[in-house]
Amino acid sequence: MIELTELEHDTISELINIGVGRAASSLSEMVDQPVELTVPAISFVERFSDSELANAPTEVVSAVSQSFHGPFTGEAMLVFPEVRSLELVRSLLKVDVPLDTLTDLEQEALMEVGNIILNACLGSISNVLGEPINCSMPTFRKRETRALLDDDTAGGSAATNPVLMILHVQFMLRQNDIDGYVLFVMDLESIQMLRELVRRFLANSLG
Amino acid sequence: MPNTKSVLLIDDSKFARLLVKAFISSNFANWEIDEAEDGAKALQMVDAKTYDYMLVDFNMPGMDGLELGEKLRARFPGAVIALLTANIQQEIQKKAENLGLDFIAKPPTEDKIRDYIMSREATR
Repeated sequence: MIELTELEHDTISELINIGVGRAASSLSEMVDQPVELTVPAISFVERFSDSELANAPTEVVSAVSQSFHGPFTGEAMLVFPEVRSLELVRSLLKVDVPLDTLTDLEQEALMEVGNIILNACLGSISNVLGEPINCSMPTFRKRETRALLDDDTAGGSAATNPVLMILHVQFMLRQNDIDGYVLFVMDLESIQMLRELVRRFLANSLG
Repeated sequence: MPNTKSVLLIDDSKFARLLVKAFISSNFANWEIDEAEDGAKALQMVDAKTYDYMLVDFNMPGMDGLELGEKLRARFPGAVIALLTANIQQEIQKKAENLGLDFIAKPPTEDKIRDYIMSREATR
């Protein structure tokens, strides 16, 4: 598996922290309430089902996903329980709309939230490392947790390098009792590139 | 704000357009606000009508916001054109600036949109 020194581990956590911090501030602006974050957790697994996140495998979640390409590639996801997603959309809309319209707008709204949050994360990381990262258009999926990372297309990069780095930060909106998490999934090659960039960044920063 | 201005919102997200439209309408009554879901549609619309303000998303299917912004800037040197985007990377901000586009970071909030338009109105 991947060996990270304590400083590398700490730096990657901090990068994610900065990215998710910016994302939380964006979400907070959208919902007009504080957003609490957990400390980022980094884990390496061979299958998503091995991850602690899959410990409620049949829970249905809504997820907005964006793949990213740059010096490293992977997938970033914003995930929250399906049952709370309408509540989240209601908090986001500053204008009153009837329930029908709310339901129609649900997917659109969640995709735009995902787009803002994931870009805030990736953009901050790109700005710190000084490396441009391109994001794809967001896609929406609603499925059981155990199938969250199933690739809809044939042959994903994870199939050839079956090591996933899962960076996981939970966020909470206390007033609405909504919580969800941000997930970054990268394969072995990208993890090694990220580690290399982090090493360079540390070397530059520490002189 | 007594005089009527026209605004074109270009964003593939219907939700984003709905929010920004609501924020503008509630602060600038009587302003005309049109919407386009992508760059191609926006270019058709500007053939038929001239806009004072164009707010352009970056990450859209087909043409991205910088490509569209460049075309719009070439055709409408006096219009206010802003990239309104979640993509906060410095590289994107720099490119926008080089093309003569303003940069507004998403999420759009009522204060942010109102203050931006008021500041641009003050200089026009």
